[in-house]
Amino acid sequence: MIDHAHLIPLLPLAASVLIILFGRWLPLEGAWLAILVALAGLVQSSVILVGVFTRPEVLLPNLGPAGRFFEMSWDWFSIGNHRMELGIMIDGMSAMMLVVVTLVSFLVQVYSLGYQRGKPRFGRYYAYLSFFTASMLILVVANNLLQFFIGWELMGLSSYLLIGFEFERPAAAQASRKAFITTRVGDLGFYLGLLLIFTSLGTANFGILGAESVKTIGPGLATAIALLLFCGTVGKSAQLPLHVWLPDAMEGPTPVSALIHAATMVAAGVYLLGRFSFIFALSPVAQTVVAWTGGLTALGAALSALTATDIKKVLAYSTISQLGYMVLAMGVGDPQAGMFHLTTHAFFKALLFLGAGSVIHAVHTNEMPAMGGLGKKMPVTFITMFCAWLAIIGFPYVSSGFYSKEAILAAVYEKHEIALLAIAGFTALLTTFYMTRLMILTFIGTPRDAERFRHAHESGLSMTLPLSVLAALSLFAGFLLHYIWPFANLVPRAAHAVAETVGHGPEGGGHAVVLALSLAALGLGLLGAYTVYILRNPDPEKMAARFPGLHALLTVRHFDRFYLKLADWLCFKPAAFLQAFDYAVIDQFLVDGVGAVGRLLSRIQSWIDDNIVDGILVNGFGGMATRIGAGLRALQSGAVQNYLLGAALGAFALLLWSVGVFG
Amino acid sequence: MLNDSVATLMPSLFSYLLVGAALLSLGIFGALSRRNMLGVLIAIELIFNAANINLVAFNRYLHPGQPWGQAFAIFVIALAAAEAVVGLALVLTIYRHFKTVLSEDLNILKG
Repeated sequence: MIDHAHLIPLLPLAASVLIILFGRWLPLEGAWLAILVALAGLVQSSVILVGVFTRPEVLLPNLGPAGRFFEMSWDWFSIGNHRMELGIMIDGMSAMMLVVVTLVSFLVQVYSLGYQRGKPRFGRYYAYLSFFTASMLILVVANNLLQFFIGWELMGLSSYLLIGFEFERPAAAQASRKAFITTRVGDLGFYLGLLLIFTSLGTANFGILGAESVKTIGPGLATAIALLLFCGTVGKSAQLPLHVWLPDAMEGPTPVSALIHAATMVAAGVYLLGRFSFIFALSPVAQTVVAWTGGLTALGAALSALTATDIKKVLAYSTISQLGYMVLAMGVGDPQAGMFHLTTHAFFKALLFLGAGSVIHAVHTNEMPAMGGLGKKMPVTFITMFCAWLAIIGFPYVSSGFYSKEAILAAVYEKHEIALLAIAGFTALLTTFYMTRLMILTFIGTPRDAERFRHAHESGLSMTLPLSVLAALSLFAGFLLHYIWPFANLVPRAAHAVAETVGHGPEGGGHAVVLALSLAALGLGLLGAYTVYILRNPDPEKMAARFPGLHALLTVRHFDRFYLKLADWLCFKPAAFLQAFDYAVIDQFLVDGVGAVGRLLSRIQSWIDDNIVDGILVNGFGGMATRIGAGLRALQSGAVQNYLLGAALGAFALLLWSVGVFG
Repeated sequence: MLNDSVATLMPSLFSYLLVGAALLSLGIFGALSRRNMLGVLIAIELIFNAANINLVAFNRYLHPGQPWGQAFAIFVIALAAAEAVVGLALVLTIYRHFKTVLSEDLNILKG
């Protein structure tokens, strides 16, 4: 299976091309093809993952600084001595990512059968989904940075296509552009980092880089490379300050949001940090930057999620917040915890989005104030969302989120980053609060919009089945990956520490503090949400009026404002200046000036032409001929006797001459 | 050969030449001043005859007994007859065409 790993990204790619070209003639517009291909990818990835767990020394023959890996590559082109290759590299991390990506993609596609039914461009939607999945898979299996970058950029393209899928709505078209441009800002840094790696180390191959980096990279270079690569993560994984595109990306169809937020796109940034953890490990400065960016992102996004009323917006902010956690884990030098959380988060966040999609499908609105009490009408959605809720708040032991979040908190604690630990703990409290709020406002209590409530109904099997699968994973994946197939076997705890695979988590030594912290956060968050939304149930507008400053801080999108200002200063103002310059100097002075000079010269030339050439030369000669002719014409009188007189006078003159009168 | 008596009765050569010159002058004047084309033709006949008088007179006085001057005069008369034929024919044609024989009206060659 692993020898044909290249099929995993290539099949969805082929499927997307086939659907674009021939989809209109296929049953279901070719959707079944995309789903079938996704299923095949899932099966293959799962077999590979099981193999990686059970007999890694057979499947992954090469031993690198970041653990065992399998590699095959084809030459693509070479520049001078530098060889560029296309290749497949599979290690524990990518094997896990493959399963996550294909699984979520498969479930999202099955779900979309129900969700997108009857919507326009059904086949094209599946082509884009397949293309999106293929891009992410190209990135996941890449064995070199260039191929990684290709997948990375293809994903930018497909996210643009999918976020703006309902481009008839201006908001969607705008959101897709915003996502594309914002991530491009980060990609610039990533690309510079790629170039820096290639010029300074002469290779882009991950295996060689990993082996060589320790020996050849100095701390300064490592910091530069790490920070540049981190720019890519900041853009793609929506970290401060480039997180602004992600809440707007909710304009895409809800299953697409699930895919973007769970398995592709935002996961790529974290995956990048995991791939390059060996370089980050060389630069404490970069690690500090990464950790604090992650921590602040987690906190800021959680605060923003508190007041959002759009159910998808809450989930979007929660995604940013959870990504902050993962980046924080990478920043404290623990890719294992980060990737672990990425995996569990993929399951429960996909579930949350698909569940939200199911709710939206039923009540035709995103606004939570128009929901309420839907638990009775939509039991399957409610129960599965409840499982996701358990996972995201990290309910002890029975949920997957608990294990991965504990791992991150433990990693932070071990680094003795007390401020970051406090931030992470507080964020956990906020997470519990806003997620509980979401569940209460949506499913519990009395319906606030009777009309919508009456029409609400449980979604069909194609939608509830993926929800159930994801619910099971949200509950058990953490347990599974912690005890049965330890995640520690997949991803080393820290770079350059292959031997250190000691599990850590809830019952690791000295982690009672972490456990207590997270339990306290959980308890306080639950208590707060219960108090506010069940017991008091306040009017949001009155609350906003009572704390206007706080409300403004949480709801106003300061970063967007700042970027608009920035764009105003960087683009629009210079553009206006250049336009004025163009008009005044180029147009008015230069162009018009040249024109005026030209007109003056023409006028002189015209005067010369009229008066000298025409007047003197042309007309002069003509006039001379005319005047001479007029004189001569007088002789030609036509009267025969005049001529005769001439002849007579001539004869007389001859006579005189002959007799010698003239001399 | 002329005898003296005849010679004394004969006018001198000069008087003949005088007549010839007068005829020539009258002819030229007439040719230049007559408005009628027929008058012009007649004046031209005068010029011819002026020449003939000179020819005959020179023959009689300078080379008596020889025929050349008189013979030449005969030629000129024959020529004048031919000239008159052509001239009259032209005048006739002009008259048919322009309904006039006045020379001042005939200036279609005026430049």
